[in-house]
This record gives sequence, C-alpha cells and structure tokens, in this order.
Amino acid sequence: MINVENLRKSFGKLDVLKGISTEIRHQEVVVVIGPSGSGKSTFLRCLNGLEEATSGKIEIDGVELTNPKTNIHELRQHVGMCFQQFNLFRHLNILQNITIGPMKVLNKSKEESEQLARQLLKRVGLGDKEQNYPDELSGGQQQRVAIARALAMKPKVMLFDEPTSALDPEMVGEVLNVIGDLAEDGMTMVIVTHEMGFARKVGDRVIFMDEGYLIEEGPPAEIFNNPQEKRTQSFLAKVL
Amino acid sequence: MQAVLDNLPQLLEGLKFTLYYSIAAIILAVIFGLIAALMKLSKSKILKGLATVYIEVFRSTPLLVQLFFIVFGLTGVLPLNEWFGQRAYPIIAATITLALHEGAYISEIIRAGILGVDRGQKEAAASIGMTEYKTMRYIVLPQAFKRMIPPLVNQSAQTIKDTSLLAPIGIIDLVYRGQIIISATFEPFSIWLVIAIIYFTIIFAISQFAGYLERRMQLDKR
Repeated sequence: MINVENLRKSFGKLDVLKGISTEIRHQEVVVVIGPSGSGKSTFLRCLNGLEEATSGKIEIDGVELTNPKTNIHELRQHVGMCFQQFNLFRHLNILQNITIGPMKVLNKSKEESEQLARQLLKRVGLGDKEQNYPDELSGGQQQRVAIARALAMKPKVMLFDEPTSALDPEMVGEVLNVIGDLAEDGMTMVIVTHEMGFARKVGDRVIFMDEGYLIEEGPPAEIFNNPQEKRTQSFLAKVL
Repeated sequence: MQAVLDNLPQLLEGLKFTLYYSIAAIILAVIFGLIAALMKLSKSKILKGLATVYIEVFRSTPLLVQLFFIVFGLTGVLPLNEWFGQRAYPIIAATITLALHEGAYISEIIRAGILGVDRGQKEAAASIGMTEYKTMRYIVLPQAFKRMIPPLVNQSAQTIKDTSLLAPIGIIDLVYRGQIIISATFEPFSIWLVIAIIYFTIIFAISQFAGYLERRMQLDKR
C-alpha cells in the first residue's frame, strides 16, 4: 500500500530524516513511536506531501508521490490526515467542515455530501452537533469531527499526527475509541502517538524512531516486551 | 449663517459627488488591493516585484502629485482626452488614481489578513486534496476577510477624506462646490466650517462603526 525507500528530509542544514525505508501493507495499522524531535511527525507529513522529501522514494497505492509529475492534490484525496491541533475550518460549521471536501474537491452534490456527513457524524458520535462551530466543541469532539472530515473523502489510508496530544486526559479515550473502530473496520493507518497502551492494543506493527533513523520495527508484543535495540530499551524504560 | 442655509442644497449636491467617487474608488481599490496582495504572496519573483513597485510608488508619493501626474501629466504625452473624452478623462483618471492609491494600502491590509490565517488551516485544506486556488478561495480568504473588515472600513473613511484632493484638479465635489460658493458669498469661515462638519459627521460615524466591528470581533473570536 505504502512503500518508503531511503527517505531523507532536511530543513536547511538540519537533517530530520536520515534514510527511512519501510512498507505499510493494505489494512495494516502501523504505530510510530519515539522521543520528540525523532522525526516521526516529519515522516508522517512526508507521506501525504505536506513536507517534500529531500531524497528517496515514496509510493502510495502504486503512485509515486516523490515524482514531481504526480498530481499531489489528486493523491491527497486518497490519504486522509488528522492533526494534533485538529485544524477544523473555523469559519464553517461542523456539517460544512465535512461536506466541503466532497463538494469542492470531488464535485459531489450538496445533498449527497450532507447525507454522507451526517452518517459520518453519527459514526463518531456527534450526530447532534452539525450546526455548531468548531470553537463551541471540546477538543475531543473537534478531533472526532476532523476524523469524519478526513473519512468523507473515502481515503485509502489515514494518517494521524499525535491525535490525542493536545487533549485533556478525559477526552483521550473517546478519540482513541473512534480510531480503534476504524482499525477494526480494516482501514490502513499510520499513527504517530505517545499513547503506548493504545499502540499496543490497535497496532499491527510498531515503528520506533530516534534522531531521524528507523531504529526498530515489529509487532507490538515484541517491541514492548522484548526490544532488541539499546535506544528502544531506554526510551521504553522512560515512558512505560 | 444665511450664506450657508442658502447654499446648503449646492453643498449637499457636492457631497453626493464626493460619496460617488468614494464608493467607486473603494470598490476598485479592494480589487486592486486583492490583486496586488495575491501577487506579492505568489511564488513568482516577477509578480512579487511588480506588486512591490506598485505599492511602494503609490505609498511613497503624495496623492495630489499622483493625481496631477496622471490627470494632467500623462495627457502631455498621450492623447488621452481624445480617447476618453475631454470631460470624462479627468473623472475616470482621477477615480482610478485614487483607487490605485488606496489600493496600495489595502493590499497590505489584505496581505496581513491572509498571513494571519493559521497555517494549520491551509494544511488541513491541502490534506483533503484542495489545490492552492481552492484553499485560498474557500478556506483562507473567507477567514482573512472577516478580520480585514475593521481596517478596510477605516481605509474607506480615509478614502472619503482623500477625495477632497479631487477639487484642486477641477473635479466637482464637496470642497469644489464650497470654493465656488465662497467666491460668490465671501463667507469663508461659515462655509469651510460647514464643510468640515459634514466630513466629520460622516467619517466619525464610519470610524465608530469600525471600532464597533473590531470590538465585536474580539468578543466572538472564532
């Protein structure tokens, strides 16, 4: 589904990703963990072209993202993303936040888009909020709307960039539940998170990153219970 | 005082023209300003450079000099009066010059408004597959315009004041009418006082309105 070969990313002189290679299979849930500054968010943002790779190759569902001839806007329709700060469109109400993609990008009718949006809102448990504005919702509710907004594009892959880091503790659960449901429905996902319990529960595979390198990857049980690398061991000793 | 009462209809007629020119100039200025702002924010160095030259030239020279140059200076080298008509050219040229002048300031208001929109909004729009154009059209500009409204209303008040510089180039407005009335009545004190009061009433009302909009926007900061 996603193929990453020797991905490098530099911001000026700062090398953030120093050659990442991995593969994400159809319907696989990959959780990326690591200390802050390890490059895990940059890695995720490269996967939908929000950050341009300095070198290396990224292929998504057979389309080479790193090829300059690729229509990046077309490709992004198939790669949903949720941000740490939710980034709901502040001037639009909840329903409009979800319908604007299908209507303006996919040119679907208003009726069809609204019907889909209401379905998705019900799915994330916010059927009664469609007329509210983002600032009237709690962080957890906003993040669930953001998930619905991404799903409205019917993506093949979902990327999550620390989806619960900006949330009050009591709201973390409601967002993780929605993401967990998606995993059960067979959505292919890449999740950057600090929630180790969640990583262990929903992840099919865990990737540990540090200082721009992919240090270790494997099934959660192996990474968490029996990490092979020193850096993985010391990181997990601090967070678990 | 009698001179004022006798000539009030004439003054108000002048005011009517002042407001016509103001409205025309403001509408054009927002269009010029938006184009210049988008050019300045574009990736093209040529477009950026052109916009910068336009903005700096019009902000760094007096409006009166701009008006004289475009209305009278250009006619010295181009037969503009023949192309547009002896009576129409000064009015068209003066309105456009005024709009270009205000547009240079408005472009900076619009640019600041666009840059003030959170980067996350653009990233979210990109992440659902929007092109740069659609992101600007549906996500950035609607949010930017909202915060631009108070400074734009203020710039409109400035524009009304600036129309008084149309009188020296022979265009009929409130000031021009006043000068004619004064030369007939020899009552400079009362006539200029009334003209000042008329300007004050309109502009004070507009800037109060801008202040109100600004306060209301602070309240519902969404």
